[in-house]
Amino acid sequence: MTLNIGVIILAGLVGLAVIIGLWVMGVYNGLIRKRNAKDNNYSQIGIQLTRKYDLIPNLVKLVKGYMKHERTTLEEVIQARNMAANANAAVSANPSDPEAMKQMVAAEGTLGGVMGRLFALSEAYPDLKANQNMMQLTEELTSTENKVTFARQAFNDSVMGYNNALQVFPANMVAGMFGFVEAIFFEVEGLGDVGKAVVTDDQKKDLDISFDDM
Amino acid sequence: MDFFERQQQAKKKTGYLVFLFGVAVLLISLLNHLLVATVLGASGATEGDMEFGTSAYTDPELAGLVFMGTFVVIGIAGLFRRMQLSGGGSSVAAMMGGRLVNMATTDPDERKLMNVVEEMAIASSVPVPEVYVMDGEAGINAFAAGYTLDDAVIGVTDGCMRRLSRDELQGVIAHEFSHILNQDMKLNLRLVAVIYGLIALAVIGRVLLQIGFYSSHGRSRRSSENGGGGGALAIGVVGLGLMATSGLGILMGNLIKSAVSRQREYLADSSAVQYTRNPEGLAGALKKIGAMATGSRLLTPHAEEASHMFFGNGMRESWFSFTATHPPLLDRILLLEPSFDGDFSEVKFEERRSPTAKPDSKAQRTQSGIPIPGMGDALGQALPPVIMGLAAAGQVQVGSAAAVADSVGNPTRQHIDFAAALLRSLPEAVRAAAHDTHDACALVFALLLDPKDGPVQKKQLGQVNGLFGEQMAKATLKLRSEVASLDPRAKLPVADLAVGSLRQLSPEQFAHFKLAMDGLAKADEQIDLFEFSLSKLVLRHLEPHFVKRRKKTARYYSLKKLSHECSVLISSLACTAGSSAEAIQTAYDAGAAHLAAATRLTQLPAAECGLQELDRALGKLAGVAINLKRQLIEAAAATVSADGYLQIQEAELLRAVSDSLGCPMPPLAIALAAA
Repeated sequence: MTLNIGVIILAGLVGLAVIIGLWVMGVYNGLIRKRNAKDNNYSQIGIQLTRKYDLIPNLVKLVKGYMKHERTTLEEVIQARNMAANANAAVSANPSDPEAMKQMVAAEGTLGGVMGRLFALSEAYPDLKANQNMMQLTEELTSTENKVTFARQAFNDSVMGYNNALQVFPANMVAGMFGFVEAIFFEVEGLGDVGKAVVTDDQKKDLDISFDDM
Repeated sequence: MDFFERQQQAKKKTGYLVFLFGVAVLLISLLNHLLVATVLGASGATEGDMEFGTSAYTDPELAGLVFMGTFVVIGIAGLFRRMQLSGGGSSVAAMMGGRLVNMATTDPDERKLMNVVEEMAIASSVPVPEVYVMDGEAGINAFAAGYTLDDAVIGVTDGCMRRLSRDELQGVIAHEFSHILNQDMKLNLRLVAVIYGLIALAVIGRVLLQIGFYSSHGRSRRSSENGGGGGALAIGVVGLGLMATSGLGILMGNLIKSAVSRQREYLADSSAVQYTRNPEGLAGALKKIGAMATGSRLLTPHAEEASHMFFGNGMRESWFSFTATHPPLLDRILLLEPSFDGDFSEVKFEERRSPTAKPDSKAQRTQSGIPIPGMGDALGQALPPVIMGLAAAGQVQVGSAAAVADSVGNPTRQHIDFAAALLRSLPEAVRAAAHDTHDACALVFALLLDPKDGPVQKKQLGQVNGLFGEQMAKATLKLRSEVASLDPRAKLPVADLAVGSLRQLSPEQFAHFKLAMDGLAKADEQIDLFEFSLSKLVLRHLEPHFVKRRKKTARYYSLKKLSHECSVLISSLACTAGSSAEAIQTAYDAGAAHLAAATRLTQLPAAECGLQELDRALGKLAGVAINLKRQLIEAAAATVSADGYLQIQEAELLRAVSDSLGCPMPPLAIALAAA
């Protein structure tokens, strides 16, 4: 009979071990799933960013003709654009790499900053603002930027879901064991500025027109 | 065999499977019991307690314990796996290491793949499924997974996407779609869960063996005493025995899996040919698998568990044909192409394109970029005259209601050609918008926008602006004119396309989207048929993606208790079909005749069978057994086509009704039935 009890206890222990094993696997698979969802979400942003980076050289080419004295700013824009494009390519290739993501966020911030400056400078060139191509490009950039923001909301949402799953108490041990790292949010302050600068441009333009009409 | 029968068969197969599996588990439990009793008896015997040894076999307590233990372990593990897979197709795709293909992709091979998938989705009236690519898998293989039409995904290997021609790819995708439409995927996911339970038992056996081995090993070193070694040895032996019995179980499970899977593969092959009417495409794909060194082999470690989900054999050729999850390649090819001599060396491969090569789809793109004078002309090139008739007159003659029901879940070559023509004829702006999450929202809003540039439209745009901001309202306005010029038949398919992108919304964005749709539909103080059909379609297919808890619909195996719901369905359809009281009566009678045997119907006045009532009734009717759904759809088709003709509006409503019942009806099914 003693053996019987021993067997029962052992069976219990084994059962527990199996349940723990299954649980670890469950957590692991859950994290993988969340991470994949997050990475898949990035592709939506990546496509829009690529579009934006394709538009910027056109903008610079156009602006160059008007802004002869702002050479350094234009060079900065191109430089920042190239850096951001490279960072985007790196993240697209491996969205799980937090370092690449950090660089991406930083590069986007820089780009947003110089772009904001470029648009601010363009205020001083009424010919440029009246240019049909310029208006089209600005419109295109704004709508692309808006789509980036839209996709970013979804991305940051899934980053939060993933990070939460990673940080809650028992799961964080599993995450540590398998080397899951926290994902970086895609938050760029500078980006908003471009959008705003463009919008105010538009609004001002509207104002100008109404002013002229009067 | 039609859609309903195939689904019923899949269901029967599941029942059969559960039965076989129960038998297998019982057998394993019995073996386990014998094993434990023998070990206990043997170890008891060394202590000189002979009586205990013989009685252990018949000890009811021990038997109960072992049987229960076995059932619990297998049950828990199986349920656990099921829970994990409850995410549906996307969780399987994640398991396989798939990467979601962006709908707006610019890679030419990915574009080709998406085009083929979109065509097939429109032809069979299901929302575009998520498509995953398994990068780094050079073999040619594909899978479909998910519980329902809404969470279905299609996965293809990199080799499949890049090495097959368009026709071959279409054959493979049609094969996968037939798995989706036949509900094979549900069966497949259950198989995965069941086999996982058996694997868990084997894992326990191994753990026990190790415990037994180590403790007896350690003990014998520590002391020369022999007494304690017996228990540890017994544990080791039990572990070994468990591994053996569960091994047997896994073998049995695999046999069941293989037997079911092989049959479904043949069925999917024949359905794929039925859809595409092009056996060469599918045969070509199979031949390429045969000709390639890697064939259809998969590298992912999870291949074994899900081997039965794949297009081709993902594992190494097994020794015994009865454990293979797929029929032999040559047999499959010979069924499609009886003249094939089995010589794979003749198979030609196109040059493997690198992602940067000249895009093949560019040509198509520019073609569609050329303004097409009239939708009717563009479609007319690819379509039989009877569909042209619909385009011209806005209505079409109907064969029989049974023919309409037959077309459900059974797209044909004509549907696929129609879908291709329709996709080509879409303005570039609309197509691009459907591929982008942000613009897909705007596209759906534009479809709901009041055509007149009046106060209603202003109100609607204000609503969009309030929920999504100025840019969204602008995008909606921009798409309005494009949408207005769409062929009326193209509108619901466009929404099917958009659903694919809308899955990428965040939950919060989806909540806003739902609010906006509701607001737009109600802006003119009434919901018309199109608004009803559209919101029903979009929300029905999107909601399961965002609301994790699936609503349990009650199951009904008879329409007797649902007489009110059936009455609402037929009465409201009759009100749509006829304008005069007389016409309504004829329509109602035509539909009611089909259901007269099943339930008692009462004709309801128009006020009592509005769209809201219809919606509620459909929610309940969605739970009826599949063979009853056929009756319902036949009755619905008979009602709306009582006058012998079907207007576009009626066709759309019929489609929405069928869709709500979980039966995808190909667009223009009616036109084709008459052909």
